[in-house]
Amino acid sequence: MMKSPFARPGRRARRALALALAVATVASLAACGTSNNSASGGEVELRFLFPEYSAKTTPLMKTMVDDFNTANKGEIKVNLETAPWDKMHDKLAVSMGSDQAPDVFGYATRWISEFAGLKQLAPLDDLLTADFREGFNQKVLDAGVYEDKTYGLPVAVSARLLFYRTDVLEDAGLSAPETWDDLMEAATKSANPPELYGLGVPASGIEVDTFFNYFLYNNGGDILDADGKSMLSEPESVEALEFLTDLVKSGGSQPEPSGFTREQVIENFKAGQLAMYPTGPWLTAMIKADNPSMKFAAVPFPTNDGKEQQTVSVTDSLGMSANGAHQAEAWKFIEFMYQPKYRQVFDETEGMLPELNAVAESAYYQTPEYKPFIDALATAKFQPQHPKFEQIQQIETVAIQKALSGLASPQEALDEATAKIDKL
Amino acid sequence: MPRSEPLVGLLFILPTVVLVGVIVFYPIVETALMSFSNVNSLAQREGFAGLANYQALLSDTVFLRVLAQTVFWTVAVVGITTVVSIPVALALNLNFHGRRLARALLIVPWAASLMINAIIWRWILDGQHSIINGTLMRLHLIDQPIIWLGSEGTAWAAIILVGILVSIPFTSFSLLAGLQSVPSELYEAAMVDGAGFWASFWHITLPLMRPVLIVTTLLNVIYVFNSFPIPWVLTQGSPAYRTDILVTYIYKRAFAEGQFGPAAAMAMLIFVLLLAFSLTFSHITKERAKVGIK
Repeated sequence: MMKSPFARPGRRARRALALALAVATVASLAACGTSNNSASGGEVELRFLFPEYSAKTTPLMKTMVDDFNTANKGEIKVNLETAPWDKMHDKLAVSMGSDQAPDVFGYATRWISEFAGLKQLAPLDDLLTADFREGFNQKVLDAGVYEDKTYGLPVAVSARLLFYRTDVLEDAGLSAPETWDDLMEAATKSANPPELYGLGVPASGIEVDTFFNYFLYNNGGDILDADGKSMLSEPESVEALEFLTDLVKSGGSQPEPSGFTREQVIENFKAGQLAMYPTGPWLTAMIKADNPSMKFAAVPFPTNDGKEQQTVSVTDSLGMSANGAHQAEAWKFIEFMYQPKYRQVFDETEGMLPELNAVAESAYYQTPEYKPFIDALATAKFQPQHPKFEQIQQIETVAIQKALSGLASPQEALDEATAKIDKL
Repeated sequence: MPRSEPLVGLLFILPTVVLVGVIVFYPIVETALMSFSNVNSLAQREGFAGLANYQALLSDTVFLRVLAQTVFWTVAVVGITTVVSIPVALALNLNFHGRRLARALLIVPWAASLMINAIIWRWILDGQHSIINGTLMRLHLIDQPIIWLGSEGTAWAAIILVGILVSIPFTSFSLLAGLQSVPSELYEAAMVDGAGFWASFWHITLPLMRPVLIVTTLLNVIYVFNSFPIPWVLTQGSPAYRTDILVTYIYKRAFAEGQFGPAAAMAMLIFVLLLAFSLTFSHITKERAKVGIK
């Protein structure tokens, strides 16, 4: 037998090594499977999953969670987990599917019908005391109601207004647009391509459907009727998409909107390359940070002459797992989180609108930048609840892309969308 | 030898078997099961569905279009990459000053993650204030920015170009390795026989690079067919699925729409397609190699 520094170890040593490897493998696999819900010395552990709205979210939530853990030392310990917003649905769906849902979690309000239908969300009505309930903006609180039960408390409320550059519109001799005629005039007259385009129209990536809803809602249209059937082929909807298509064709936006995502259009607006773009209150903070000399204002989205004004509004929700072992403790944590001081710093930092009346009345939200958004919540229209809403959004997005890139007429594109939605 | 030797051997490979089993085989089995089941939006299987998910694909016009687009994308990227990589490999095989630097530079884009490459390209191709548009406008070659990712034609051109650029490093390095194994005596003998550059290229270089060409083409086809980051970051299929490939479409169906059943059926179909392609391709090339040796 050859002897070298790398000679094979003795039989016994080899067997021991192999056994050790095998044991280690099994042990590490077993460790993956064990639940981390084990309470030590009577302390209840809760898992709290919250989406990242910005880089500031995690430290912000950690401070609040630490305060709670200190106040409840020895009784409840909350473990904070955060995830990028666009991974939240995957993460929640996967954890729910494997019975590992967090005890408390943030999620998009439009997922309520899906998650509640799968019996994953706990109804909160019995836990909500009258006092606690009254602290909320009632219209915003109602966004979390599905089939007469409250499943989610509002968090990260936004209302979308039309931002416009006051200097550009003044130079064109125009005032803030109130009707669609004003909007068309402002979009085409203020443009000076390629340095400056009128209205930012993003038709790629996320929220293409939300963008179209500004037009749809302000023409008296809607996505779904009370029975969950598509209303996208109704004359109001077709007229809205025709208007948007005409606006693009008339040079009122960048040509070929399918080449632009929401993120790019926001960059373009901040860089002064767009005269108008509708979005949420966070844009104010972004402009102040990146282009502080820009002159801008925000107004409710224009309506087609005589139609009722509607403000596209989106909320996220905070909910409780229907299958959590410690619901009383979880609710205690939720009540703790909704103290005005925590909501105030969260809303201000993330550029969101207040869900609590106490926060809305604070000086910060009564400034000219924020007051219009708070007022606009009075005409707020939230996303519909439909168990397959994600699919509907996808179908609506495709219809808008087809019309805007000339692959189909608005009527054809929307008829196709209706056929697909009604088959779901 | 002691009788327990095979057992000890098994214990040694157990960690690998377990890891491969958990990470590779379990997902394949789960996907296969899903493709024959009704699946809810939490990806839980809810009963046997027979071939319903597969039948749904046949009536899905978007799926058929995306399948054709995927084949187009794969052939374009792999074909052009291979053609471009051969001269790159030949050049890098020459003796010249700065050869090491040139080789190192070629590796850099390969070392960066595909996602990062794709995100950078998204901004390079931006329709309003990108490097490309800015340069072309300053040179007065265009007077309006080109919205590269705005319409089907230019978007595909851009996606394929980026796909080629990120595939070149791997391909040319593999080919370079193949070139280095060609004995220089062959070229010297050919030169004595009066063969020029093209003659030795056709009769020595290409035939001897055949095995490495086959392997890189096979690997490239599999990588490119399944390449998610580039099409996803650049267009997300916009407008209306016209720039989707199968993997991005599967992702949309599964994770944006919660349609895990049909998505799993598509994933199985890709698996079978690529498996069939690999087997056929290696079979054909083996046959031809045998003939060549004779």
